[in-house]
Amino acid sequence: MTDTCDTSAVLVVDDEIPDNSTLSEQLRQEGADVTSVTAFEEFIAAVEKDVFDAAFLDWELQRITRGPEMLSLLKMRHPPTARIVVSKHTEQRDDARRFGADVFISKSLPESQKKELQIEGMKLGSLSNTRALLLEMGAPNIPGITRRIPVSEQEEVAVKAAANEWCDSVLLNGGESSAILTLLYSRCWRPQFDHLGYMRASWGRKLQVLIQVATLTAHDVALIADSTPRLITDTIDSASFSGPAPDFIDTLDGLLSILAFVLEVSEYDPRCMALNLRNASFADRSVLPPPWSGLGLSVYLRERGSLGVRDALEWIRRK
Amino acid sequence: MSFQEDDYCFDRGNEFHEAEIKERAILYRLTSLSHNTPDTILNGRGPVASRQKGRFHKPDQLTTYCSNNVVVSLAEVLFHMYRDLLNQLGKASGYALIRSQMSKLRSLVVFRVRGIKELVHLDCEGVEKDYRTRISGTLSVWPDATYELFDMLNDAFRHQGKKGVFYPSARHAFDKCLVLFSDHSDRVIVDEFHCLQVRLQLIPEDQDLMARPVDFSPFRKKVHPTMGFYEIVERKPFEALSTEGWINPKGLPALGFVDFVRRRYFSYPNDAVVALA
Repeated sequence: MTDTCDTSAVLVVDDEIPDNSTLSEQLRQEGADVTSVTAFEEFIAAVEKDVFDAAFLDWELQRITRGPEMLSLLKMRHPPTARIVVSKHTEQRDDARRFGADVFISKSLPESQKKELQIEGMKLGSLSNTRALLLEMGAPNIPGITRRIPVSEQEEVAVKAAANEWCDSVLLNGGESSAILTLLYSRCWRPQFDHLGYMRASWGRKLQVLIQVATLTAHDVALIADSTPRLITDTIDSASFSGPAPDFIDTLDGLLSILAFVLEVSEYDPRCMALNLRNASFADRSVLPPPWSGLGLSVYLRERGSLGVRDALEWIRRK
Repeated sequence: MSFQEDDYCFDRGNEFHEAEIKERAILYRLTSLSHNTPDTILNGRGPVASRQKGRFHKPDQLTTYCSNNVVVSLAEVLFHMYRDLLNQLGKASGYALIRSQMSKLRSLVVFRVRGIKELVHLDCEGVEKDYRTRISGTLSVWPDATYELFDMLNDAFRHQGKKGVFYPSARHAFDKCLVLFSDHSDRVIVDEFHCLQVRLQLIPEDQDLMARPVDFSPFRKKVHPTMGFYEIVERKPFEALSTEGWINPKGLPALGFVDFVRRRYFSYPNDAVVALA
């Protein structure tokens, strides 16, 4: 699996250059892709050009109060963007809230507290923005979120689960999934398969990886290979395509081919692969339905053992 | 040492059938991401596991198919993707299964082998006479020839202890396919073994050859019946291997469109591969 995710797109607006640079650098260190501007006109140009997950706004620019205008404009143009006001003057907190700020960060706060608020602000923006994109794509049943920090873990989990369930159903029903997958992968909301790492792995390691992705246990594999969990673990750990019992190795190799086939049909999506292994109606409308129709592949293989591996692979390879 | 045409010894005049591979010859195989390791690349167990019949094997016979030219492997695999797609469409195999035939990730394995003797050069008069077969010339590139004529010849070669066959690809008119009988894992030189990830893709009939292909539904558009797309995903290692002379043909682009029908090439590989910048 890989954990390379796109960074949050963040806008920093502050006319005091040292403050702007410090905040921008801090946010970059948190993994954000930062656009920094120092003037109101630059802010307008930036929000007209790009969509941001979060915007950090100085209340006053060149001694003119710009906070209310910037908050209103952001709210109008792209409501999901997290609106974070950063100011020296704590008395502006209520005004900022009234004009739609999600977070108010006083510049006089200790660094650790500021950092915590910054991270939560970006998290809120990322969740809110991704949720909005999913709704635009037509995702049904995506729950709402409360715009506050800290972000509710329960709400976050619920949104991610609903997004993944929708993605699963699109993948399993053969719908157009690439845009959804790209979004979920980019946000690290869905595990990705590491093709290159897998390609370079030894035979035993490949089997280990696919067994793990398929969420099969050593006990499941033992049933499939008519063996014991201990022997399965030892064989896979030995990492090479050889062993004292060629039939046993052939069965494990057959299982590897079957799992690789399911992964390929699942467009290399680990979640979808695990679902397809349990899908009792997989290709069941085919002229020649698979032998595991009605049961699902994982149940079928556990019940039939090595004979099931042989028959399943024969169906898979029958062109 | 770079790719050497002389490492594959067979009669270019197509008269004598005796053939062999010299020590440290380079072979190419496009295979799954799962069976691309030195211990599985030439073990020949594919047909045993799948119990499927092929041009030079019965379901229980250890067999490996490879080539001495990357484009031969690309053309063969792309053609089989196309044919498999048609079969799956004909069998109404399910939408997800059919869509998965449209694009595949594969390993291009480029490796050296120790010498392999006792091979046969199929496309020659010697085979016609010594093995009493009608398979030569045009018939040797019959794309559906997995039936009786080839079965008999396959049996005869194996019975005589032959280790494999050089034969012309039915999908590409330059260089050769090579089938190896039995397990040749001990011939693989493990230290001279390279794996590159390749994306293979079927394309629509109206594909613009100046543009990268995009995913499409074979239910909405007709698939191109003679051409497909390939892309070596790992560009830098591919360029390094090309520079070091491991890749035949020389000058093969990292991505492009490949014909999977035999035809005449006036300029090779430019006439066989439409490069994409």
